[in-house]
Amino acid sequence: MDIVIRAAITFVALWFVVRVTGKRQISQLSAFELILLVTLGDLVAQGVLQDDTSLTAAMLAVGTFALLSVLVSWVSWRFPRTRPALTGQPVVVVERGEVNEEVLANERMPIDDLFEAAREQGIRAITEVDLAVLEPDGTFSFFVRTRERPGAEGGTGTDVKG
Amino acid sequence: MASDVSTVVGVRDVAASRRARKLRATGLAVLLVFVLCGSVGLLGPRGGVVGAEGGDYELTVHYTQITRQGMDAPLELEIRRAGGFAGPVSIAVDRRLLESIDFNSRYPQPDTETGDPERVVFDFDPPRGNQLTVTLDSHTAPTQWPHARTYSIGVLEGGQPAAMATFRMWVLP
Repeated sequence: MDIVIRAAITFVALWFVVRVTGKRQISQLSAFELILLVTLGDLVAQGVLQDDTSLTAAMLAVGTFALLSVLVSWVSWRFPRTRPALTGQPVVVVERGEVNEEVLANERMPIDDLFEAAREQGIRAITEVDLAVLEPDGTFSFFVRTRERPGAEGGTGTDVKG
Repeated sequence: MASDVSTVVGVRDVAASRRARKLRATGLAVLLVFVLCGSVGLLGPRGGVVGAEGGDYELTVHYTQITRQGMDAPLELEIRRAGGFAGPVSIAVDRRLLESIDFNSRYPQPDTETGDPERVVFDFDPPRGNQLTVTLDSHTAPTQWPHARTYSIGVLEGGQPAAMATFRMWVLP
């Protein structure tokens, strides 16, 4: 009983921590942040299991986390209005080649990360980008401006994700 | 050769997706039942009470019904005798129980301990009133394999069991 309650409280606390710390994917974490994340997992395990080292206790904690995870995804699917609160919302960071620095500052996202993601998509200059979106999972989606070719009419751009 | 480089080999169709969904739902149902069992204490720790009467003695045993490896498994014995105790109180505990749980401490400490292959007998000084309470602070041995065994604890009178309580303890992994 205790383990299920502690696991449920820890799940909610972890969700809260992840939501308030902002959008970052694992690949963007620095070495220090990665160590912090691993340490966080260790601290959480101690808090949930305490002195109980039995297999049943571990399975109960894992089961509680899995069920709550499924519940969150179901609520997010069934009630779309809860999605911004549960998983976050995408935000536009580049529009018509101009970086919205206020949005990057709000998300505590260094502009270098944006440049790196753009380079990975073969984008040489941000002015080539029609629209860039920072997704809830911390990835960037780029819509590149279509270069006008002689005899061609305007295009809709390309969606690349990085 | 074209089939070797196809990127859609092994991609599930709608029917396979439905089957996978049903399997996942079944798995989640099993997981839910498991967690619910844990929530209501069916996977331990869970205590029980058993009693026995015999001679002039009334014995009540508060024991751990379901426990897990390394978990606390306290044991409390209450022995009552109408009119009080005339001499030392002898309590016989199943030896297998003592082997499956590790004792941290006993309150009060017995004066003597003797034993045979099946049981260990603790002799306590008679208390002032008509009730002797013995608390055994213990935990399940961490190396125990999962099992369910029946144990007995009794009060002896003249070396013979006067009141004998029997209970079953489950040790989960």
